[in-house]
Amino acid sequence: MNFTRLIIRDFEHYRKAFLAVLAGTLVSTAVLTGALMLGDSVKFSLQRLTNIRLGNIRYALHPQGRYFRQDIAGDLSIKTGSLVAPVLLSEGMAVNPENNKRINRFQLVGIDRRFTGFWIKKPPCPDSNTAVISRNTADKLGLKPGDDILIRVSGQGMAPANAPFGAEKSPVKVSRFRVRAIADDGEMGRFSLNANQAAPFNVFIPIDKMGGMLDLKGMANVLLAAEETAAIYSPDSLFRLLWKPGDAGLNIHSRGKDSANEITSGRIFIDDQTAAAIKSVLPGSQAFLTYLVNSFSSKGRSTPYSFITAAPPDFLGQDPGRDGIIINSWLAQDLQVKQGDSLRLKYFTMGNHRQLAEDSSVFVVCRVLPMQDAIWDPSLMPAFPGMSDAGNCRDWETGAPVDLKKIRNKDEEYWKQYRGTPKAFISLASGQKLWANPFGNLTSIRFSSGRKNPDSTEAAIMKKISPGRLGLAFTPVYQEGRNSASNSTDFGELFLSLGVFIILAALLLLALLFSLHIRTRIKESGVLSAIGFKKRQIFRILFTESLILATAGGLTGALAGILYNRLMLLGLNTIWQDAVGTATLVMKIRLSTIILGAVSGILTSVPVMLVILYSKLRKPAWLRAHSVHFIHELKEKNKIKISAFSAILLCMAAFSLISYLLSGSGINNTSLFLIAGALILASGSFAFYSLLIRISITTKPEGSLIYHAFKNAALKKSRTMSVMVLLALGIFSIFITAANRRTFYGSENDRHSGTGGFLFWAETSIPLRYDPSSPEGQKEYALQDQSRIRKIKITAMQRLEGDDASCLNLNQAAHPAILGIPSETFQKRGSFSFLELLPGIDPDKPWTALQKTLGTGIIPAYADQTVITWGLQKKIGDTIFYPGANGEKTGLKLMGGLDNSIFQGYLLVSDSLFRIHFSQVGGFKNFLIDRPSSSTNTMSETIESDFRDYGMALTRTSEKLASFNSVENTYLSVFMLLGGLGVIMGIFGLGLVLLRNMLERKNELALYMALGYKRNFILKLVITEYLGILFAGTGLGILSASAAILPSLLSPGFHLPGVFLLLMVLVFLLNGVLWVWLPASRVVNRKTAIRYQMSDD
Amino acid sequence: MIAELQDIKKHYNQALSGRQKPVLDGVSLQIGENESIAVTGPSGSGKTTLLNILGTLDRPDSGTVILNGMSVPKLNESELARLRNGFIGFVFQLHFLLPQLSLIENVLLPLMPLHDKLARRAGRERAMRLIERMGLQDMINQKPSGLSVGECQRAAVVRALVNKPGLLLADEPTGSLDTETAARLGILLSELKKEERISMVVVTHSPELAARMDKIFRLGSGKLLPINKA
Repeated sequence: MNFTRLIIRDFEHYRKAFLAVLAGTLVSTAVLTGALMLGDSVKFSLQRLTNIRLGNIRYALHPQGRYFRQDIAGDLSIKTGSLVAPVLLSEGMAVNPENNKRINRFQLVGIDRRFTGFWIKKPPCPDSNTAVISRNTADKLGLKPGDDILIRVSGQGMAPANAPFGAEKSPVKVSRFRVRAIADDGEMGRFSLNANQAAPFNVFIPIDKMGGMLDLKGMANVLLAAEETAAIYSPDSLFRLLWKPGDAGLNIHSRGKDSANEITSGRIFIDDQTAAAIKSVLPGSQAFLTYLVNSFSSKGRSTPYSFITAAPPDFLGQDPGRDGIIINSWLAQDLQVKQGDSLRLKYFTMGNHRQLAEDSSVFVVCRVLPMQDAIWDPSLMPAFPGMSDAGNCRDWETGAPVDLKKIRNKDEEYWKQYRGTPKAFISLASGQKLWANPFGNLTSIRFSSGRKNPDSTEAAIMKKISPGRLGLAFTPVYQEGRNSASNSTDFGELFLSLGVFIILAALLLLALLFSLHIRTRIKESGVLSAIGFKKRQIFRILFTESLILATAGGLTGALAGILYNRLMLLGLNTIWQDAVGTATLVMKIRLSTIILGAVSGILTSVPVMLVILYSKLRKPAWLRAHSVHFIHELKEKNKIKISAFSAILLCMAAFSLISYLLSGSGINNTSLFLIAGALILASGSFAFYSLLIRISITTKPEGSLIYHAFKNAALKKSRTMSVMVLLALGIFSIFITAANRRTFYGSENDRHSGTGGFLFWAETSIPLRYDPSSPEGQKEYALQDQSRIRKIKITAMQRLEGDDASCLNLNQAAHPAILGIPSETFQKRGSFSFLELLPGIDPDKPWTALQKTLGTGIIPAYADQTVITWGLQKKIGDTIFYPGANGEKTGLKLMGGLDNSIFQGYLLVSDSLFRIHFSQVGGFKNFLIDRPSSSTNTMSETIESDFRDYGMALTRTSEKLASFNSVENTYLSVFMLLGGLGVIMGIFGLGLVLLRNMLERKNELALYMALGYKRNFILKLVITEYLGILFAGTGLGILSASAAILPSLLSPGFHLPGVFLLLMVLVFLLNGVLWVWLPASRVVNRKTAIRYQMSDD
Repeated sequence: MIAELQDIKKHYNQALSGRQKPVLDGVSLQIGENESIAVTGPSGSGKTTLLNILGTLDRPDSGTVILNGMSVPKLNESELARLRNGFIGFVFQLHFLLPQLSLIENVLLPLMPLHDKLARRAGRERAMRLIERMGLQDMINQKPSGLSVGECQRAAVVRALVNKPGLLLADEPTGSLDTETAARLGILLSELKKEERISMVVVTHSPELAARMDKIFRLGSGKLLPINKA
């Protein structure tokens, strides 16, 4: 006989008990490992999706609102030897003309054959009038190859949509394409530069065709590169080496006389940085700012819509000074003015929301020059879209509200003869002071190349401008995607916390089962002591067995974790899809995770076993050998005093806390209420323990059935307490979880709620140039005549595209989309609530804090607290930097966190600061709509119909919020399910304990029968005992949970899912009754009792 | 003198009142070599406590225990275990054979703590001899559940003697046996005492078994008093 054989014999003999103990470790390890594996699986799935959406793309250059030559892709490709492809990317609306099904927001991708080279499974390339569509687009629209698809996109052009006098009319371009093929996920179907697990709706068309549609022939707004070339990554190296003026939107051309050259911008205005770079290369150059004035007027006469140029003195031959103006003879004649006369200029300046506010200034005519003078140059007029090419003034299609009726025949004559020749000049300084705008303060720069090679001048200029500062920088989009996936929501941690109750229940079960087992072995340990085994040796035997059990449980549990992980993934891909927004999660098994899970499972179980072993072996050998248990009444009485005192103290603390919270302003402090609930739970547990001890030492010769039942329960205090506390904890957790489910129940119209009191959230795929609530917008979109929607209030918001930082995106968002919100309106309405604000912000006027800048390049921003914490993994006070319109960095400092709102996923800045810092964004894509709630259905249909061409889709704000809530609610459902399983496991443990107790009490039960008690009475006795534990646990759980959720219970809008909770408690109780009745009825039976009575074992 | 108890006192707290109740009140006993002693007395008189103290499973409140010339209070846990393994053999009222082990495995259990291979081999040979002596040779591979109570008790005696102890302590060894089996075990014990030349303290209610011992003591009111053999 040796140590090993003894252990083998133990395993043979106690295999059932060991299996039960092993099961406890197995379950806790399986849940633990499964959760860790789920983290791996989700991360792996997201990384897999990164591979699918990017193929072999490693770098992307995607400036917002800027375009460059497609040809630079070829140049880069030759230089680097890697695949570089130009892409035109835009959003639009797609319609199946056959069935009228539509997608309001899809991604239109203009590609050529090079783009298809990024995918291993080479997709078909669209050509001529054909399109390749993604599988989800085909499914959504019901399209197949050969069908037609209508595409609506916003006509863009090089000029920023918001620039003064940008083209206005007919921004929507519609084209019909024939579906050539459907691209699956692995064939570019999922292509997207945004890290999001949700598949975008993609339509791929030839880039040339798209360039034609958008007035961007030969241009691209995305460059994609395949290879990891460090040179590509640095915007100041390779790109800078190869780029040409056209890539910066510049046009350097010879004027054909006097070796004069001119630099203009396809963006109308030359931005300040570029202008400064040009001036540094060409110090003698002349800069001009040409602007459209609404009228020149003097002495009651007026000349409408004319161009005026602000020019340097060396060009004018004199300095007109701050108030001086040089006019041409045509204007002098038209207005009957002469030198020394005053002239009033009326003109538009950029106001809020693209509202051009009319302003005026008075100048004094300092000189009148004949039309033959060389300075009256028609080429000074920049290429204003919709104006430059117009045959007549009346054909102008300018973004400014030009009243064409004011144009006279003589004006048309001037236009025909002199085109856009300015009618007047003022000093450059005066012009720049009047017409400064975020897009630049110059429209052209002229220079004389002299004897210099024009190409070398061009190269010198391009060398001086930093492409990076214009946003023309490659980003390692693949690596960023992988990083976003790696830093995504940690599902391992999440499911570990969701499954914590089941782990605790499994460990408690393990403790119960192991304790029961050791109890059977304790006499054996006494015998071994008597034989001469040292305590250490006995401990070694039992500990080795425990370690083997824990190891076996850990290893099998880690493998069972694969099954658990599969089940959880199945749930997430199906019934819990709301939480992840995708059905593409796949399992990833890492050996390291299995090992980690197994080791964690072992390390969790071993201490539990160790504590039990230590506590049991601590008894003297003779006590163990004879299984003697003493009750020391004095000690027991002390225990009663201590537990009763603790119970009273904890109870008083709980009720004091609740009273304080209810009397003050602490009603919203849910954390403290939770603590109060926990205190009540602890107090109740102590009280119950005290009661058990009291009963155990009380003698009532003629006690009732309930007395005897409790007496029995009191005999095994630790077992009784374990089961009761587990039940109470389970009920407590489930009630709290149920109370935290986010619901509205009528509160959605409250302005303080997450909807802000707005009725609808609207988005367009094509931006609206004007704010629909402004007079210009009302006129433009023909809203003023519609009585049906006259009462509605549309709040328009501009959006800078970015990552989706809402809980619907699992990837970490580095740069969430930004919304320019009307902070003043929100403040007046008192819309939305905040969870946290930076110190110093007036909690009564939180929105006004958004209107102040916080220093150079830093502006205040708000976001949903959940976005800050989870989506961005930041905190209040942190700053996130974004590239601005002209390459400068703009920092958004997080000033506060909103309470669960419809803005989840966005950063919010004030609209005024948005326009300054993100002037590249043209138009409005997001809207909040409010009106009396009557006939909301017809209202939404009307609005959608009115803005159909822009792909406007309305969603009730409550539905939008509900979609975010559904994520949280889904997690809560998972927690409740796993928590419920934990409770059921606890009740199962109760059944095992009961069975064990029944076996231990066989003689007692036999005695009852021998004394003539009926079987039913004994059954009733046993069931009463355990139902008492069940009811005590359930009651304590409900009581403590009620205290914890008191703020919700007191809230008039709160609705506790009572039926659900009632059902759950009933399931627990029925399950408990079943587990009590089964072993009890098995043991309490005449034959068994007699057999037990006869048995010595 | 192989073992000696000097003025042993031991008390327990009463279960409900918490008052201290003296169980052994100045008990002294000397056990000579190859001497057998029976201790009788009513239930609850402290017989098992006396045996537990003698077997070093329990410690007295005061008094001295000397075993094999060693003062027990001075020994640590490890030395006590060694003393129990080599010098003392225990037989309980219920056999306390480990249910997971076969008869032979149970019997050889006391050899496990031994590190000396020769001693272990000698122990195994001795065990086989004793098993034959007890008439258990045909059931050595049986588990306790397959043996009768008497066979189990005989196996427990072999287990107690396998390390050739100097002192055999038996607590009601026939208490769970029928009269015939009890009588046979009594005879066996007295024969073994002679054959193995061991000292023996037997706690018993059985006058027949007590009569087979060299001396009889009665424990009552915490005092141990000799009884003259009739």
